[in-house]
Amino acid sequence: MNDANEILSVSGLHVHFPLRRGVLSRTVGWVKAVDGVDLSVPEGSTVGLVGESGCGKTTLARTVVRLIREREGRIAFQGEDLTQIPSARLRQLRRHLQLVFQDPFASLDPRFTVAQILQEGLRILEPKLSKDARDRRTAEMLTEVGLDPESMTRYPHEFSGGQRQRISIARALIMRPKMIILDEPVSSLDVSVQAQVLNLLRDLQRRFGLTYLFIAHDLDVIRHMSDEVYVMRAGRIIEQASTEKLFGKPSQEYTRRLLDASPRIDAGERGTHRR
Amino acid sequence: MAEELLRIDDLHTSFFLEDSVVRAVEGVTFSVRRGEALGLVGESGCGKSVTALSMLRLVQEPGRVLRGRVTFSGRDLLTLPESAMRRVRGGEIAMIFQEPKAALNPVFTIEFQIQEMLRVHTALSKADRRRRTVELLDKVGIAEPAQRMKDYPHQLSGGQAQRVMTAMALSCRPKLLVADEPTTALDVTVQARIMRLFRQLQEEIEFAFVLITHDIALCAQAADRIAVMYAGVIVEIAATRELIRNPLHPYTRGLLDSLPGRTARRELRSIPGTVPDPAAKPPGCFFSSRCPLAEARCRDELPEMREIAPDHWVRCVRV
Repeated sequence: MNDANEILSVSGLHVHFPLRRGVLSRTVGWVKAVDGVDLSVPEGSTVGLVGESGCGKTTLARTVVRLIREREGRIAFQGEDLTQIPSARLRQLRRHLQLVFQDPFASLDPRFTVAQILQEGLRILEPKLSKDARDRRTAEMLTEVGLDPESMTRYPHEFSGGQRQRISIARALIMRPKMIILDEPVSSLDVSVQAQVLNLLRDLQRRFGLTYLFIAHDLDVIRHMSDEVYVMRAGRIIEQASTEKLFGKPSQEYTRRLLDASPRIDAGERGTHRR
Repeated sequence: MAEELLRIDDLHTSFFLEDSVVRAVEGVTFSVRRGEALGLVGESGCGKSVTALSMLRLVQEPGRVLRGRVTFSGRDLLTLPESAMRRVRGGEIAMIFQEPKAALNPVFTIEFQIQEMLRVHTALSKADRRRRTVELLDKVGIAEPAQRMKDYPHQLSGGQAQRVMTAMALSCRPKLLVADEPTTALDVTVQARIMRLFRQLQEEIEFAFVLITHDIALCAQAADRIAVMYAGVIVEIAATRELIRNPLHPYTRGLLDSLPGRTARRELRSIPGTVPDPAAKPPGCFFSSRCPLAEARCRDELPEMREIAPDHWVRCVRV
């Protein structure tokens, strides 16, 4: 697929980790965490990436944002191959491609205030911005994600899980990105809070014209958020389809198994199929 | 209706911290009938795990069970001597936890750990214990049990470890199995297999099952009745089908509305705000600070449980 409006295109991506043994740490083999992945994300859409633990979905995300090096493959963001361009150019492009992590308890530095957390990227990429301008932008972003701008001076431990994930989202948003990769953004949250964060993400997408790559293991969350879904297993994409088609008529046995395994409240009801 | 096996009455458990008192469980009342599966569902911090620990007298300092009664097979577990209580735990009431690998001892084989249970709780001979261990592992779906039982916990996958925990829990033929988030750390396909195993074992061995979980969909599939907990109290309890089709408490409704994937891509009706700090709950009904229906009287006192329809209990004055 090569849409004119595709914002991210991953092709032939392989990421291998060495298996080392012995005192000399000799490499005795390779774990093929990502084993030949092709993926295309149209601008303004949400592409879901679903799979069970260890399937390589997080490695894929981290490779796309250059936290992990690939063995081979092409990662084109806005037409430029991130694996080939010089690091100065990569820094400029990367601000438009942000990542939000799963665990809002581990991904926020406990010694930084919320303002410091949000402004870290700005200081580097927009060094000429005055403190006032930075603070204004920080307050604005906190409001956007539904937090009190006053919370700027507070520390992460003073916030609940849902609020911390809002801070993580604000940290990504303050760079005015075009695309955000969301790696299990709601899986550590309680359902009632999860719903708030999902609504927030959809709302921000509409207002800022964002593109999402949404990674999750929860099929219901994927279904709710995505236009199109990729199913990953053992480092490979085994099925790709529109959300409607994937959930209505999955073509792969593994996808069907995943769908059957996830508890459904309407279908469930123990009384109906027991005794 | 089957007879009651376990009855918890007005259970209160608090944690006495240096500068505050956390009222984790504040008047929980419910019963479990012989052979049934009861789902205890709620979000983190609602007191569902503390309820289970309290009834088994496993609450640790600075926590204390303040009052209440836990009647199990005609005895009050809260006043039983510790020696008798030790025979109840693991014997008549078995418990399994969320992280199966953390619950197993890493330095002993599986065989040793299952036999330990049998040594403590039964009078079986060594040969019989061995036979029974193989039989149990086979029952929970471990292939080649006689070989696998020589494995250490680190050699098992998460799903296998939970099967082993289940085998240990069932080793002494308990009347009641309490499972606290038994599949939360597992992948969905593994979760489905473990839940199927529970159902099949329950039909075979006839024990009552309390499933503690944050996942109301999982509850709907696995439980005959569901009790919904919020901020230390049960707010609604009913047969599964009734509770899912006709939820009455605003919190239960909010929980169900918050679930994504029920209808495609509409705005989710989330519950505003967050669960109150357990050391500073709102006055009156604990849900009043987030409730769309709250009015003045909701903030006056905590509502009583009322039976709105047969066997359908709700703690809300607006219903």
